[in-house]
Amino acid sequence: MKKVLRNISLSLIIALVLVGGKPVVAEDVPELAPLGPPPIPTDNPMTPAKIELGKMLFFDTRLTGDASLSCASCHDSKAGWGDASDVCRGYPGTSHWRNCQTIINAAYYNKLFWAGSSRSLEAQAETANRGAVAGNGERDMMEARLYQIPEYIKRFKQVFGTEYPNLKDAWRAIAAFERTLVQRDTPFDRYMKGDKAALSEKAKKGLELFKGKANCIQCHNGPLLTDEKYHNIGVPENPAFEEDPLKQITFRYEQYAKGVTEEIYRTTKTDLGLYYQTKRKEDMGKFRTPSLRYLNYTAPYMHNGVFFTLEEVIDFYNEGGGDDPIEKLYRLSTKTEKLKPLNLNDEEKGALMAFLESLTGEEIILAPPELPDYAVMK
Amino acid sequence: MIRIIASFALAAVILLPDLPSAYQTVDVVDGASLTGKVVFKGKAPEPEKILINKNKEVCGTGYRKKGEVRVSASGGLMDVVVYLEGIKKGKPLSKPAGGYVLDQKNCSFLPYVQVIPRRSKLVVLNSDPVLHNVHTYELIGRVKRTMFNFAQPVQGSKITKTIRPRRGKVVKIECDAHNWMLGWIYVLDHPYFSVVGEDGTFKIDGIPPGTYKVKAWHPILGIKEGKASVSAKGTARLSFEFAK
Amino acid sequence: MRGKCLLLLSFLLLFWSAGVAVAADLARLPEPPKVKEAQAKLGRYLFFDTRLSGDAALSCASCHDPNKGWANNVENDEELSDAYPGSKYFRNAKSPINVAFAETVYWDGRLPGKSMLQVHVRDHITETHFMNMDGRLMLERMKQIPMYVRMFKQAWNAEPSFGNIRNSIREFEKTLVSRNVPFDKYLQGDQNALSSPAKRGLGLFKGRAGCIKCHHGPMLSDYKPYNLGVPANPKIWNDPMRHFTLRSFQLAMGVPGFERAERDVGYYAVSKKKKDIGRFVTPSLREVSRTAPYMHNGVFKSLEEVIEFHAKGVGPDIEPVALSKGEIRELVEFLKSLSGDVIKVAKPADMPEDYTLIEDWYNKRN
Repeated sequence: MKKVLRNISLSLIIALVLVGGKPVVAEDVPELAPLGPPPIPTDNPMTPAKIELGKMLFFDTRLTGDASLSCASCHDSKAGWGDASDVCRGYPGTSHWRNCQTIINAAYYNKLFWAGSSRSLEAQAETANRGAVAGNGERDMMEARLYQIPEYIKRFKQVFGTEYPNLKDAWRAIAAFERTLVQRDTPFDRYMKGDKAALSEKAKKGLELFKGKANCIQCHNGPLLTDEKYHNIGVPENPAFEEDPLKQITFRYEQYAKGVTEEIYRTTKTDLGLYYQTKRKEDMGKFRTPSLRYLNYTAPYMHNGVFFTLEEVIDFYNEGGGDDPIEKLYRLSTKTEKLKPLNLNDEEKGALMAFLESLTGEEIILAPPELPDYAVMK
Repeated sequence: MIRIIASFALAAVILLPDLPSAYQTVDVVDGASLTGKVVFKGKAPEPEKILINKNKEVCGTGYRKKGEVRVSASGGLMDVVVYLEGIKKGKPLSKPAGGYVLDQKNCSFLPYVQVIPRRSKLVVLNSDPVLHNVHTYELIGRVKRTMFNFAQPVQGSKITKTIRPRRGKVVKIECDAHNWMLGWIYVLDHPYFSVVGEDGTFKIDGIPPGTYKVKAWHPILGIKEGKASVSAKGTARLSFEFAK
Repeated sequence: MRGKCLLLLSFLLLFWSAGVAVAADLARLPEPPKVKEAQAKLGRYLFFDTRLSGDAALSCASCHDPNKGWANNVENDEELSDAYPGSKYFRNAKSPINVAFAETVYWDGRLPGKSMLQVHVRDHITETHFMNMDGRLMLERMKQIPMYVRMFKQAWNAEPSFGNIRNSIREFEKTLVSRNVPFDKYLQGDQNALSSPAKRGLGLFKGRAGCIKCHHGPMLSDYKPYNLGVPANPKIWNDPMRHFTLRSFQLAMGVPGFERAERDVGYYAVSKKKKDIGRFVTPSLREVSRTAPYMHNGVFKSLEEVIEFHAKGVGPDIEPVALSKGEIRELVEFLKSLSGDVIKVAKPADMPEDYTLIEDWYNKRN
């Protein structure tokens, strides 16, 4: 009842403002909040043995086509659980085309990847291990390799009760391991739970800017600091695509594989983001708002990694984002209306930075486990 | 306005670092020497132990250590580059007789550490009968940016690339086909450096007399700084200590 | 009435096919197939190009090396073929020479040869343990090499496509046919084309040794599966990587018990009929003197060994026959007469090593 009333009054305000011109009031966005425990799907409960197995598989290169890379190759704990490059390295003989995102707190997202193409960590693991410019693995080979490792046979049997390892279970174990990679004890979380000393005065001022003048909270809201929605903010192109033939190959391949029209395939050189999922023009150039947690360790930033530092990111938003690449191509602006020049001065930028830094806690570093070798089967 | 920002970011990426190096070759009379040793105290961090699970005939079996801090019996720290910081003129650059080469042999990069001036040609050689995929990155803070990345399947193949970092000095070399392979290039535009020997000792000579900031860089342990004054034809000593 | 006609027709067919079986004889190779030059030339480049494999490690020539009899060879102790990195193959690679006349391809004959060569080319490119390539990525690689773009235009009047890549290699394979084969000349009436021992070997081949029962027709193969009881090659089960590659293959083919894969089931993987367990398709004997090692698992190193083994009649699908050492030598002499001129094809010297950057990327139409 109360909720209904609130909605009515909000609509009223919006209506009133609309009458007077552009809507300038802040939307009713979810409050910032400390992060709770991650949701655990009922069909993949967490057990210590499963998590341990998942950790091994996460580091095991045998779950890719030519046994050269593992999940950890592009999600390296020493690189903020991304790979620290602007555009992810990809499979040998190729380059990837987007920035690899951190796995820290990935457990909370309802969809994975920059365009939300995956609905669960389990599905994401499979997609990443199979894609031609990522893992390029096929089920037959990846699963058969597991049959040849007695330690895995034993552990899969213990965790899943199967006679031989099943690849679907491998993705489940990896997802379970990833659900342990969460960070909930940042200065920000402590502050939100009542420890007023957890944030410096500067960071507190940054928080006010975040919610107010800079209005980051429009999209970066809730405990995860993301609306999990898709926006075009006009990220500039990464010059690496003009310099590396492998990236040009991959860019065309991705468009081809994602089933765009021939005209788009032949002419469009900007990543169309959510459009590849929906094939709706109004979704062109939109990418899922990333969480701001663990930000200190996850440079570079944006879907194409074009910004190497947080300062560059703040400057970008201070200018109201970038030019709309879609408008240039299709005379259809999909750029979000939410971005306006912010007119932040250096002190304010510094304060905002201090707040953003409070969203990261201790660096989570994990030594890779010693992996079991293949064995001759009797 | 937005365009300005974007192009500024672009300029930062492209233009700044490709400025010509300021190093000038001059005759050095009364050149001095700097010698010393780099030592390591304490317990070296554990390297990653990576299982070899492909190309075993060439790469070997068992586990490979990656990112090892190698210390000699006498405590000398290996794989360190010692160099004079910011020296603007002096003796000519010295290029190795066969040019700069990065060999891929038995699924390792050789040499593990080498110093190369900006814009030099580097020959990437595959001595193995298996695919290697050299992938070089310049390190910029926590970020790494691809310099070049190519598959090299043919034994004996040589591919020449130019070392062209934009903002950084440290180039990390990985093989996308073998996840234990690791190598490093340190980019310096002058000849006043020394890659330490197996016992951690170094010698830099032909130094114009003066006082210098000296740096020691180790790929895993980072940078230490020292200071040295050298007099005409003299030899100064300097030691570096890394600890963990 | 209609039923009766059908009955008669099938009687006739039965009679006709039985007649063929009785009359099965050796025949010379047909005339070389017509080849489209520009397409075959392109196919030759592609045959040697590692960019047709997922991680750019292997080309067709990696396992079908013209310098090794177009396959793996015994001199290099390669009883079994190589495979995609991270796996190792469990069979002996066959030579593509004369594949243009083959009824089927592979030791289990699971794919068509002859006019459908592009099918096994596709299979080689995409199969996990061969080249493990996504065709869509492959064609974009080709488009990043201006020389290929020109060659595709010339050969197909089109840009690179997976179909054109396959068909180009098919055209190249059609050029790989035996020429000036002594045995074929003999069949055409040149009595001097075979030595006396070879002629005696031919007599045995068609007569008492009974080779012709399965090795007949122009390819000296009936392309049917048999179980000869070929001994297992322990190198497969002693090398975990070969073993799991076999497991992977059996998994993909839906072979029951693939998790263990205790033997190479051969044609059973195709038919799923119990009687076919351990059966392999009769290989062609063309060029056989150059394609050691022998059998599906490369377990025999010489033709003498192979003939001795056949003579023992170990498996359920073969009868023993007594052959003297001299007769075996004569059979070998005959088999040697099945090889034509050595087919030498080198990797094209001007094959571009690097991709070419596309300038003005944002404005350039793909």
